[in-house]
Amino acid sequence: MSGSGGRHAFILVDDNRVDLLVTSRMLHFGGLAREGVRTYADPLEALAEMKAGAEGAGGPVIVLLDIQMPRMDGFAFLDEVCRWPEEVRGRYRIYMLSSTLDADDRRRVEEHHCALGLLSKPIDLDRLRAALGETEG
Amino acid sequence: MVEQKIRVLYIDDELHNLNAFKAAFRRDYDILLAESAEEGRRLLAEHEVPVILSDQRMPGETGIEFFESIKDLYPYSMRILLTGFTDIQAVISAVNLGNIFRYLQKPWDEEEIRRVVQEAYDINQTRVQLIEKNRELEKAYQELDRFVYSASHDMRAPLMSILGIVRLARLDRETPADEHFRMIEESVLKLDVFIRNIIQYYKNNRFEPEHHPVDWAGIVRECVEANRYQRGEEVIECETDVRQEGEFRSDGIKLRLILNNLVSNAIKYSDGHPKIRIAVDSGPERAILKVSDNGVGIAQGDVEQVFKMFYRGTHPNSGSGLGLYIVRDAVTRLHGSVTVRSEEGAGTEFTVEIPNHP
Repeated sequence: MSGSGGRHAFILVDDNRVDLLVTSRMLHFGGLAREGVRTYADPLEALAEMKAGAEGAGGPVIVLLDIQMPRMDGFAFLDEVCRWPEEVRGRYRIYMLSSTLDADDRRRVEEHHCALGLLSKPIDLDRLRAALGETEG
Repeated sequence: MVEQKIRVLYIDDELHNLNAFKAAFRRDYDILLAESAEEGRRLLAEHEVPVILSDQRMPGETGIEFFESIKDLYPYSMRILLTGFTDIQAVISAVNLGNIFRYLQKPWDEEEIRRVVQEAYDINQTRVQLIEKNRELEKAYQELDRFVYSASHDMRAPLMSILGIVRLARLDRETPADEHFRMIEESVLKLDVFIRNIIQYYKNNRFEPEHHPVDWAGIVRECVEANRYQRGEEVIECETDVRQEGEFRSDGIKLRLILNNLVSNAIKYSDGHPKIRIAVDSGPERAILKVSDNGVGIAQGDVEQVFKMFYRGTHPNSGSGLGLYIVRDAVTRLHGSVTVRSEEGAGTEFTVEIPNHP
């Protein structure tokens, strides 16, 4: 689509500022992001903007969502998204991005209708490409 | 403290036996009397009874039948059968089924009753304590599960951040290396704070408080010194006001822990130029400690939550989620209280009340 070769729009939701910065730059340098990656340290703010969202013009937006966050954790976030009407929800493809090793977290992600999978931190671009159905190059 | 009398329930259909029992033992035991099994059950429902004595031969329901009927409801109450008849076969089978602890012949021997009731009570107490210990252990395990889950996440998260920064640094040749180092530093410090807090929490949790004379002025001075350079070169304005009237006895180590966590919190959450105020008013009954700041305040929804374990506020500088939990835990161990008043954008004031242990 654009000259930089990135095909996807991304939203990152994570209370850790360092991780937000690292992941968004990885997406940029890895050539995955189509445009500026939108980052949110506050999940509630992310939800509000996603719901009102004007994005989604060029295919679904990829959301990378942290699990352990204050005020609202990743699962509560997913539950909220699940309640949205299909035409809003359908604009997003949500993956969890967490450093968790907990089997219970993994199971909950797998069982959740609104999450497409769990990715481990720090982000592995090859795995992300595989998850997004892309092949290298 | 006055030793509490053992509560004993005695069931017998013959009133003169009940009266004789009461006359003989009212100084030894807290006695409940029942004229029938039915009434016995009613009393058991209302009172906690460690030792029950029942006559065997009663109209309608024998003592053995009564004990059978309550065995599962009150498994820790010790059951003693009194019998004047030699219906030994029924008694033997009841003993073997575990339905009764002892059987005693009527007319009773007072000394024997005292000995057997005491024995029964000791066993009851041991069992009750065992249950209590098991419950505590269960709770401790649950806490440990939660602790391990949260702690492993909180230790792993900064490490994975660092790993991410290292990988990014290899990919990103545009950004000066120093910025990557700075990010690594931030993650390392976060992890360090967390590990320090875990140690504090552990120490606070493990050791019972000791009461010694407390020098409030000294504790406050120490704390101010220790936190002076928390912001590097930046000067932290700290006003102190310590009034101490007479001797105050408490646990100095726990008080330092409380004050330190409150002050370092106050500095951490200050916006711009930190201004801290520490006030102590120590009297004969209690000491009141106030730590206030001009910081970002606590969001309304967070005020109730701040003392919870692993709860983090929404501020980007938020820490390990243990600091205030440790404060409340230490305050509780000193039989004190802690409250917080906060206005978002204006500041926060923590008030701690600690009783004097003269």
